[in-house]
Amino acid sequence: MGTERDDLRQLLDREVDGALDAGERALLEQALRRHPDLALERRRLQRLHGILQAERVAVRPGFTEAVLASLPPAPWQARRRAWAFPAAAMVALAALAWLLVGLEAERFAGGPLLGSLAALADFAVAAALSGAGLLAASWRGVGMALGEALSLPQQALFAAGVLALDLLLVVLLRRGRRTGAAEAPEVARGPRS
Amino acid sequence: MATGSALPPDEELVARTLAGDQGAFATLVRRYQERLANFLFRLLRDLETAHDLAQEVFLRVHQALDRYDPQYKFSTWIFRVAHNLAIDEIRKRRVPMVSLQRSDGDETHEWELPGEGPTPYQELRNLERGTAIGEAIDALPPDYKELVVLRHFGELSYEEIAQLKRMPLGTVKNKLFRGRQMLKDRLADYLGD
Repeated sequence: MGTERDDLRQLLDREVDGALDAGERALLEQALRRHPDLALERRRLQRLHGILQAERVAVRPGFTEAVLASLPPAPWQARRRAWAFPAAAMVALAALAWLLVGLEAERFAGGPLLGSLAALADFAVAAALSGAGLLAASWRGVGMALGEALSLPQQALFAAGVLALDLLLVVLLRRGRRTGAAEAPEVARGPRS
Repeated sequence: MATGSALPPDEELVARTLAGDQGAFATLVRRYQERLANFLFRLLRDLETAHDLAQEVFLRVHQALDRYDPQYKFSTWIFRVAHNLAIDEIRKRRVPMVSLQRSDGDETHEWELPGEGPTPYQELRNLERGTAIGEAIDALPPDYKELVVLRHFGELSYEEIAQLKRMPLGTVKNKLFRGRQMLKDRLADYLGD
């Protein structure tokens, strides 16, 4: 009996708190008919909820505005702003390219969309070809310059010296960067107390 | 306590804020300000500090909004931030948590607590009642007190409290029941027929 009464009081407690499902509510209603004295407990619990509710305080006037005005820019906002200009520039360039290519594509028989795609493909092919041509010409130029430089013994010696110095400089720079990277976490931890 | 179906859910407001809609964050502030202020006020017993800390909660939440994981409830997250700040504040101030009872040989007496308001000539019953409620809540064992405050002043559901406190749902229900029984006994004078 004691356990059942405890269970019923728990149900009553949650009923007044608005946390019973339909099945539990039906069970409680049956029990209340069997134990009318539980009605007094219910009234007391309802009053307890009422006086707790009455004790709530109001937020001071202007609180919302004060909160919103005090918010510094959040890191995620700064990141968004940093991307905003490059993204806008890219969109503008894309729009410009689309416009230019689209105007050209007007003349294509398959319609403006297919024409645009064909023109874009043409553009990509032309860019690749010209890039490859430039690269080949550059390497050819380097080869000719080297051949010329190495044709005389003094010049060959001078060129070898310059190359050795360059290699030494590269090695030193790489070593310096590695040392700096190893020290970075120490810096990130902040000053030692 | 339940959010109306016409109102946008918290998670949507977070997404809109992250997309640049500051009005959405203002809605979140309005939605939670009173609950947070009441929750913090009941834990700290100082309305000014409660407001200041509630403002700090919003600031921290706004700063870290992009790290919010929508698989958890926003209410649980924001109340966890508030809870942690309240704990820090209590540690900082070292608010003494003393029992309202003292032993005198075999007998146990209640301490006569000096009220913070105009105690000797208190005439208004609601003021008296407010003091009694504050004292009754403060006299609850700490874990019961926090659950009662989260439920009645933070307006969190049982499930939200279970998630926030990482407790089984049954334990939350049980502790709330026992906490309210203690309150009912202590406040019996104000719950009579």
